[in-house]
Amino acid sequence: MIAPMNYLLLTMLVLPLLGLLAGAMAGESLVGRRFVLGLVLVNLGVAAVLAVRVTLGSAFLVPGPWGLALVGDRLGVLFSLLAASIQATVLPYAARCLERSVFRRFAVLSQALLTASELTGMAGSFGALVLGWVAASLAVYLLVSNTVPGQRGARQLGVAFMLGDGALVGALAITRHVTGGASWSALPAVGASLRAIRLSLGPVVVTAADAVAVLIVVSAIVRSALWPGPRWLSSTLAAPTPVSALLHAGVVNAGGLLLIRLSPLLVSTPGFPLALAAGLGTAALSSVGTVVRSDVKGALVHSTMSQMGFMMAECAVGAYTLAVFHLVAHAMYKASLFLNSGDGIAATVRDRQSSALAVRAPINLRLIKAAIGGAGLFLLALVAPLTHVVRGDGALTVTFAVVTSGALLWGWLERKQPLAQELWTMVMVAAGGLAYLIWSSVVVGWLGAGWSPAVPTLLSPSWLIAALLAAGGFTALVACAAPPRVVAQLQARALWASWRMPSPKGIPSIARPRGVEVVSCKESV
Amino acid sequence: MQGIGLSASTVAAAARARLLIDVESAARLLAPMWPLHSFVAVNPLMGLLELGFEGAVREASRWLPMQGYPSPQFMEEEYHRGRVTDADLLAVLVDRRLDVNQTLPLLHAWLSGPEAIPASGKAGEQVDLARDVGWSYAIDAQLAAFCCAFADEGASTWGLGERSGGLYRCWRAVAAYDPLLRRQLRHRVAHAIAALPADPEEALLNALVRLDISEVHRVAQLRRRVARLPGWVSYAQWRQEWSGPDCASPPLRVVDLLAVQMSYEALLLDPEAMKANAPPISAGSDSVCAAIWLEAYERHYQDDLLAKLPVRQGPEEAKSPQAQIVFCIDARSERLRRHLEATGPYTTFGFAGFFGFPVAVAGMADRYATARCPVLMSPRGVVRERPAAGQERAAAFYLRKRARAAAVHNAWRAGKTVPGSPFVLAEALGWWLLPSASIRTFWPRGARRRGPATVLDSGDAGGLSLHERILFAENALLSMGLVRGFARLVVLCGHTGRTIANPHASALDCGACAGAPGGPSARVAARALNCPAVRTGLAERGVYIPPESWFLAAEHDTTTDTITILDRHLIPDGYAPELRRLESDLAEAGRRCAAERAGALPDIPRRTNSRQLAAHLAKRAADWAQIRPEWGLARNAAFVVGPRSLTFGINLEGRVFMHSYEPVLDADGTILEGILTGPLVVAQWINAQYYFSSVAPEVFGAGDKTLHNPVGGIGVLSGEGRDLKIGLPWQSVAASGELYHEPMRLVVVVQAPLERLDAIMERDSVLRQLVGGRWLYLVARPSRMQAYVWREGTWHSWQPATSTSGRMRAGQE
Repeated sequence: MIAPMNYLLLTMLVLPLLGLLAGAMAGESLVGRRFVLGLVLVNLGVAAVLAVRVTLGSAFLVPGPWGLALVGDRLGVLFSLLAASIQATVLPYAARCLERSVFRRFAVLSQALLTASELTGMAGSFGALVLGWVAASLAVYLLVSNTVPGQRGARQLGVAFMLGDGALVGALAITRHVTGGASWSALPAVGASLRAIRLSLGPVVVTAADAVAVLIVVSAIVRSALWPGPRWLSSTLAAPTPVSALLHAGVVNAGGLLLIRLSPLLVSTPGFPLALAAGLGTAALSSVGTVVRSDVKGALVHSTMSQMGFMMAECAVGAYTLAVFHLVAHAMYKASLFLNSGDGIAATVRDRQSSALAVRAPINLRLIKAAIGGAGLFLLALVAPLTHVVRGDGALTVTFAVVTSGALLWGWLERKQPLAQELWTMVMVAAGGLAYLIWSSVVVGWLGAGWSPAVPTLLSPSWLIAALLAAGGFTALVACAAPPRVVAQLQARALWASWRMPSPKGIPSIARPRGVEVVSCKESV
Repeated sequence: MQGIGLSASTVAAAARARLLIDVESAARLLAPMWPLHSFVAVNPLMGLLELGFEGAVREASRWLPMQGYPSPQFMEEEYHRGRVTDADLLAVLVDRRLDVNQTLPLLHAWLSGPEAIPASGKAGEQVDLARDVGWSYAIDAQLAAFCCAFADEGASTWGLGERSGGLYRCWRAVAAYDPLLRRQLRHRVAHAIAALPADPEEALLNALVRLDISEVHRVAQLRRRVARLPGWVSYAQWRQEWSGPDCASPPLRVVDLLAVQMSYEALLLDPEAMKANAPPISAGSDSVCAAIWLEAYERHYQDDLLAKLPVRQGPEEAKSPQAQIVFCIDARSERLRRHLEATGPYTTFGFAGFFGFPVAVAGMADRYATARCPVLMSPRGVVRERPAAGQERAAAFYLRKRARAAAVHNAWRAGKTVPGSPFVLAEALGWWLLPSASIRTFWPRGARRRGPATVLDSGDAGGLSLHERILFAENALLSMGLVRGFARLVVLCGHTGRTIANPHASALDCGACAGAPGGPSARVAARALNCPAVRTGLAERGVYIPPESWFLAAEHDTTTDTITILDRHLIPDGYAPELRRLESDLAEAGRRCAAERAGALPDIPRRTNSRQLAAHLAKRAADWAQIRPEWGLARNAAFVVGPRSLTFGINLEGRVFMHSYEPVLDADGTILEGILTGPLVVAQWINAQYYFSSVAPEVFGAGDKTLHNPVGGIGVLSGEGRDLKIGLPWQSVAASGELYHEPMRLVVVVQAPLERLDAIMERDSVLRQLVGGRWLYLVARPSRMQAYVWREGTWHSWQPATSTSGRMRAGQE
């Protein structure tokens, strides 16, 4: 029973390589394009078969040479399924919007990226993961630099990835030096032996595990484009739309996967707090970037960064299954929004034209209704049969869902509507919220079955609830109580910070205060 | 004391007035850019009209990194293809009185010469106008980022607050938080910003003093700065001069832009160091060879075109037509007219697609009315859509549906803004969005919105008075030469191009309707022409429309070549048989038209019949990944003014704007004057837009469509860039790195006596500038046997290039 599955797993990695060859040879012809797409669809089918297999049976390991094992578990299969389905949507889109010669390069390199992503997802050991990771970096670098006119975006990307990959390879080297090869089942033991190696720097005692953990988190921060890492994601806007869709849907996710897979190495280290700080910091900063930007793709870039921040924070507090649920859903969400970015002009006109169909509803009433709607969803969640509500991270999902349904109602009821329609809306939003909770509980339950990961000892999901309340409180304060001048200042800061700061190296000289003084003299006179 | 104070303020006012004049003349380097939701093609060098074509190109290439002529590589290919020949060159040299033996070798050497700037041929390779100059790039990047937020019409969820004071005041209020200024000025920044004048003009004057720019060099220095941000300056030009008084978008002015830009410079730069660092103003390239090649290239086409026009009475149009169909002058109508006439006894007319009724139209659920007339006119009334009789309940239902959609959109915005909820929104929607994206990609299907039957009546409140309606109707009918012999059905057919997820969608719409679909204009005009009171008024003025004639509105979708009859509910029952016949003929003509057009589009499946091709084009139009749903007006080349008999039955390949004109109805030339000062200018703008988007894509083209990033609901950025892109995308004029559009100046062929044209040119200075400045070629055909071209202030009999070179050779021997 196991053996055919091993072949299927290997097939998944080989299919995109075939696609790569086909793309290189015939990517400009219709037949070649269809062949590559066909291979991706077959890949999707194989991933689906594997998904059925891991649902019915248990995870299985395919050992390989040099400690490069592959694993067929639910996490890996889900990750591969996601990568293949994104490709299956983006590839035909790209075939129609890119010029043929550009598409050929896109086909070749996107298939290379697919192999690398699937290898990363289904890696059965640290070594295999790093191999997939570095291959993916290389594929992304080549993909962007071969589709961008001009090289600026790609250079920044290359530097960033070299930093991140260097950190990860460093972590692998230390681990290997200490313990030899490490498959996932052996990882807790590896973590223990790393923690045993202590190095005292004066009063501070550092373990080898700390060093490895920091390197891993740095690598994850770079790949997921988090603050305070390099801002490579916005520089890739110079690439065509389908490339952006692939980057935002697939590549940035790997940071989360890395943390989840290597979590046994991170327990009792500064790794988790570091990831939490980077995650929450990015989620907060980029959320503001998302709302101030008026260009579609710029807003999407900031949105991705903030979503990745949230995902990373979920990983850092040990809510791994929720993080994977978020990562998968967000990838699908963001790929679609990028593909539809051309609709930006028409969408804005539509909104403007239909913005005054009804009069505004009074704010207090809206608040009350939104609160009632949120409370309704909360009550529903209490009585509904949700498998993971009883577990620690269930409260996290429910809290966020309640806040969101309140937010949706708040917007929905901005304009006056007949009472019956308002009630209907509230029922619909609550029902939608419940459906979301049930679905997330199903997916999370599926993913978490038989999975007992290493969780951080100090941090818990309630930290994220606290962060949400803090952010909500701050926003409410700014919206209600801050004077307009302060709001304008915050907005201006966020606005300029959301764009890459231009290098002022060409400025011939820093202005002396001469002129300023002249003007101020005049004023004082 | 008071006297002194007064004179000081007078001096200040004079200084400001002079400044504004200088700013205006500096900004004339660039043309206005309409927002993309109502794209209007313009001549990008229209501000330099009085310099003539060659002069304007020379002036523009002094400031902007562009050539302005087809590249030598392009010409070399065309020369080898035989598209331009030695005979054409000879003819041009003779016209220009240049020595043939000396010049011809020079021209051939030019073909293999180097190219100064990589011009056309490299898609998307945009020249970052300020990249080479570090400090200006840094300043412009900060300014342009601020412009993106300032000009936003509601794309961001947290838009800037009070903007009515203009860009400069808005910027000054928050400039102290600009990281660039903070880094360079450190603790002095708040003080320095507070010391800036509150008024933009004063700030600009101050900055000019600080930067030591004297009044003599002011225009040049301002022009250099204008050239650094062509997109935003062009957009500001539209906003301040063309947007109309009741425009809701934020007030952006060129002087504000310059005030911010130069305030940055004054704050950051040392004038002495900057002078040393400033790029030299280039002298403008020597472009005589390029101009001659271009003229020869145009000459070749003109010879072909004029040779096609019939010398004798050709096959005649239907005498008693089953229906008369009026199309827009748009070049894309030419194909449809030809195919329709081939299917049955129809006569067709060409007229500006707003059908003479300059109104703004608001849909039932719309907040704003949008202008539906050429931008050279301003709307004379607002027509609101109202439900047709018996449709009130359906209309109420429709409005509720739209309100619900708006509420969902508000919910979406709130969900994206409230802390925490974007994460859940992504988790909840992703599972649904990707499958639907896959379906959209694999099986493209356009969403067609269906609403209740409605009426657009310009006689309603807020619309036009009866007198105005009669006047506009009479003008329209006289101009198109349709004053007698009305058929039972007269169709007014507007046009639109329906594409999705396409920022430049409105570039495919009707230019005569200000970049909007032409259907509503057709409905307004048809409604007025069917109105009994209007018909009585027309009869009093001598245009008698028999009661059995019915005016129909229709819309031609140029992307799919399908024609929809509009306002079907208004048509009396008696017309059913004719209508059926007409519709089936229109459908057949559309299919033939689609089949002809499909040949030129890339990636069209081979071995398909016309039905399959039409289906393929429909799929293409609904495809969100498609970057070239149709070619639009690419390859447009000529403007023919005359009766249809002049062009009847001739394949003009969809390259010709056609305006109907009956010389006998226009003894005093007023109708012709209207055509040559209105529709002709619009056509010239379109032609020039395509020309410059093709030959100078770095500056006057919008670049690669796959890099486009819609901003603020008004325009696109390209990739990482922050300046608005002007002009047409590269994919609208070229495919696989090769130009599809043939860059040529418009040739205008008019069937009219020379004296009439002389008189019009005498009266109208713009026309004189267009013709005299060689922005277009004017060819007159006083009779079927003769053609004259206007050159250097007089009429020359048209000689085909082959005959000129033949005579030359004979003379030399």
